[in-house]
Amino acid sequence: MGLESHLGENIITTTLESLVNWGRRSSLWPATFGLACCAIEMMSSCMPRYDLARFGAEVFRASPRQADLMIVAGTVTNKMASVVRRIYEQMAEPKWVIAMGACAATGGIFNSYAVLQGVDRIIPVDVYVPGCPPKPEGLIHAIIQIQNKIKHEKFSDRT
Amino acid sequence: MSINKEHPAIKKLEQAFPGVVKKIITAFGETGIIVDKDDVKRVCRLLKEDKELRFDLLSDLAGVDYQGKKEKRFELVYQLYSTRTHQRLRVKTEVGENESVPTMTTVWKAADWPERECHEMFGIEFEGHPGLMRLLTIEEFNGFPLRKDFPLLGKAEIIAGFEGGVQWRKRD
Repeated sequence: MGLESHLGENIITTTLESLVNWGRRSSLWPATFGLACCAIEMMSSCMPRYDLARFGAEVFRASPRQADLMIVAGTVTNKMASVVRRIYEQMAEPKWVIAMGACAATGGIFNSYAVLQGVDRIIPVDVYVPGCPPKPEGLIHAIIQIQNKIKHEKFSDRT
Repeated sequence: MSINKEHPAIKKLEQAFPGVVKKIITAFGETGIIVDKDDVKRVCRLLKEDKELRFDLLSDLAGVDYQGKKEKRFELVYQLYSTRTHQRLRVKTEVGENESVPTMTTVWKAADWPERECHEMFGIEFEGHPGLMRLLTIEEFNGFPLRKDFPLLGKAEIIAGFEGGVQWRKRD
């Protein structure tokens, strides 16, 4: 390692990309966005038993402008669809989306005139979590999946 | 049932407006009456304002679709409760398609939203309602979802989102 041998033991070198990605994945702040019963599991995953803070994603922000991650937790009705879309647009880049539960992923049991058949019809989704509702372990797994995705992201992907 | 005929409301109604009660129904010990839709208003006003009856709470107002099963397609069900005497009464009235019913918002203010819901779900018109707008579905919604001939998935579906709204496609 040519350069590092000159710098000594107190300095490490890395790429800007991996430093930024480390920062992004270590503090994924979700937007508070519970739509149905899945939100109870989402809250539960922040409580001491599951402690989402271990993964740096415990700071639920009330404003989408301060959030990096949107957890669509629950049934998206057609009336709510445009609101979901607007909140997504209000979030600053970079942003990621988890579709939590069967309803957010596909409409679930609500195959009807009033419910959006999958939130991926209106916003891009990174990770789908199946379950009705998914256990907090499921949501934590999804967040780890997103962290892995961020880890391998390149600046050139977001231009 | 003998208890049924002794319901104080039915006695009062027979005294005040003879022949207004078309039918008395008893189910699980609960009393219901059927009246003509033109009589609903005076019946309800009497039930609310009579000093002994005092049906001061309209706990619910619902619509039913009897497509092909009854001569008149719809039925409106008023669930009444008296907080003074703790009596309950169910008032039903039959409404045909494209017919309108007088609003009950002048008797009970609580009738406002249930009537909007009935209008939205069944397409029943309420004469004299202060603002008969959609309540639960989106503004551009087409059709009356709780009618028996409404397709379960609706007549249109959301296919994509775009800035400021969502995009719809009509189902075949």
